[in-house]
Amino acid sequence: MLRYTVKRLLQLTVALLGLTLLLFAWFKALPGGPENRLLPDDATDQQREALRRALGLDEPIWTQYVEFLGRIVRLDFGSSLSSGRPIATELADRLPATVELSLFAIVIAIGVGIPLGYLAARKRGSWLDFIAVSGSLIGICTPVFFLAAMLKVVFSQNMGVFPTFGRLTPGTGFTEVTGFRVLDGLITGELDVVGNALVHLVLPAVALASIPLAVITRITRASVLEVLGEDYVRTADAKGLKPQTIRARHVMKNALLPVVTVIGLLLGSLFAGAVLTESVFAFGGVGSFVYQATTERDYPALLGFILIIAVSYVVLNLLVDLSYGFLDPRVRVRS
Amino acid sequence: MALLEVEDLRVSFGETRAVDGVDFQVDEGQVVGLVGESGCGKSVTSLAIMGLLPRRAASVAGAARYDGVDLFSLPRGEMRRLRGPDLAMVFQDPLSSLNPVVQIGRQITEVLERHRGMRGEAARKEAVHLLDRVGIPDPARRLGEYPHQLSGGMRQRVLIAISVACAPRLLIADEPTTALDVTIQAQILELLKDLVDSEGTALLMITHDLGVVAGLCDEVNVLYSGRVVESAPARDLFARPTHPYTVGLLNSIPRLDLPIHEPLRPIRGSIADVIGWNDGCAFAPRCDRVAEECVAGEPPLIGAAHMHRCVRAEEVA
Repeated sequence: MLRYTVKRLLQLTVALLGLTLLLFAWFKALPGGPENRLLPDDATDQQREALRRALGLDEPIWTQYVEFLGRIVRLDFGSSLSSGRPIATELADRLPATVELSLFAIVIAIGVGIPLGYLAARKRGSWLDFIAVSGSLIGICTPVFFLAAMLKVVFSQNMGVFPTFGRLTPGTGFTEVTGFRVLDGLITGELDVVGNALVHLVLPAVALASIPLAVITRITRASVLEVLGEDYVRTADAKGLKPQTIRARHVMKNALLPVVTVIGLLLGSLFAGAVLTESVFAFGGVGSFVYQATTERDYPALLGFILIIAVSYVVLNLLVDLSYGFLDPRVRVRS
Repeated sequence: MALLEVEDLRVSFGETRAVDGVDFQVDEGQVVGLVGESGCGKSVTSLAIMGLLPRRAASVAGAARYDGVDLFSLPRGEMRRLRGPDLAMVFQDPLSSLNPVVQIGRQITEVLERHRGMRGEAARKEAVHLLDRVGIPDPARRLGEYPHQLSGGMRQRVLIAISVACAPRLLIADEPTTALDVTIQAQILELLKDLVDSEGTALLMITHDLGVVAGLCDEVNVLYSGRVVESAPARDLFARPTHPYTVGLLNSIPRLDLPIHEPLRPIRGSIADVIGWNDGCAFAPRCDRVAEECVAGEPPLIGAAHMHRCVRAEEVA
């Protein structure tokens, strides 16, 4: 298991290095160059040259790359072109909101998707199965921003059940500890804040959960169907075990293996979905920040965001791989 | 009263009839063989008795009385209580029949917990004892291993250990040696024989291999196309095979006591997908001795101790 972990960590480092190379190339390939953006249009060639030298743009390309890497390692992504604040600070301020939203979304997707997929498989061909299958198809096909906007129109603007924007009702007093509003409320005992934050989370989390929910339902259903036909499930039945034992130990333990893999991939893509959801609900997380950065061509901000997504993607997949080794003894031995 | 009485068992999957009126019985402590080639309905018969056929796909008719109780009319919960301590089964493919992500030990102790109320250390000790009994070396260490870490023969021993964990009165073994090497086959058969002899367990042995039957069974039922075509005490069956199908099965076994260049005489053709006993003998298209009377009508099962379903038995013999 240790060797397996070390091997995975090495692979992870290579993947991240490759990514920085790609990002560096992308940065270099952008039209215009930073000096044109920073200087007024009527700047002289000498002024441009001076700025290029000051920014280190006249150095050999590999020196620039090493310099670039060094800054990334120090989490120095530069300052936002629009706000002027360091990007690392901007992201750190907003990350808890996005993580909180993503966690709630994935909890909804897992909590509903796995039982639904299991039931659909057990009751194959029933109306429940039909609803699960067609519902997940619709879920996969519906763009997140559209669903988010529709939920907002129906449930907050028309029915007034949920708030339209933000993480808390404006003016609510709260104590910041971790930046996760629900967790903070629980820590400080401000239960009104917990409730308030939860109510604000419902619509964005549901919108963000739609695609992962659909995917998890489908994968679980397919996987359970496959496992139900396996010989060892028949053996379990021949042993006269209780249905709940068969379900938990012999069906689900095997059926969840592919689902775990997919959940890892989905977690990474949740951040991308969060960009759209947060902008609809003005959620104030990384998503809204990136949405703004994209429209204003704030490249350093985008760079920082892409790196965060990439790192979380790679780390999550590492965790999935490790949990896989934990869940499936065959993987453990092969490594 | 026999321990198990199967009466007019019929199983069909939609339009396809897999078992078409099978009768046989197993007495307490007896070893009974159910013999036939692939597709004759022998596995389906065993799964039907165990209540393991997919409920939606298969329709089961007739009766299987265990200790006088009709298994087919038993509620599912009751049936589940019988599986393990009364009826147990050993399957054909030992790798796919064990759960790949659950430790061997757990797959044994869960039966002990469920039917014998054993917990923790007691269950573990009993599992070690069971593995030891089926001839697995270093059983305590094996408990923590997974199926893929064991050889095919070892896996089959584990499956056997699981099936005898609650000392069932009837053990059904569905081709338990088919997936194994020949040398291992003999060991497994020997083990099964020892277990049923020492415990007085009745064994229903399902196989296509008459060699297995010869060494093991008291009674033999030969199945063809979903029906019993010959039923006799083993000794009798090998001494005086009556049905042309049984004769054909015996002739297609290579024998060491015949001249080396003597060609094998296989049964020509293969078993028909859709069985037809209604228009006469289902074996007629493959039979060398077929006559008009064979296809004149449904052949009945004739005889008392040695029964057969061939209208030309006298002429054949």
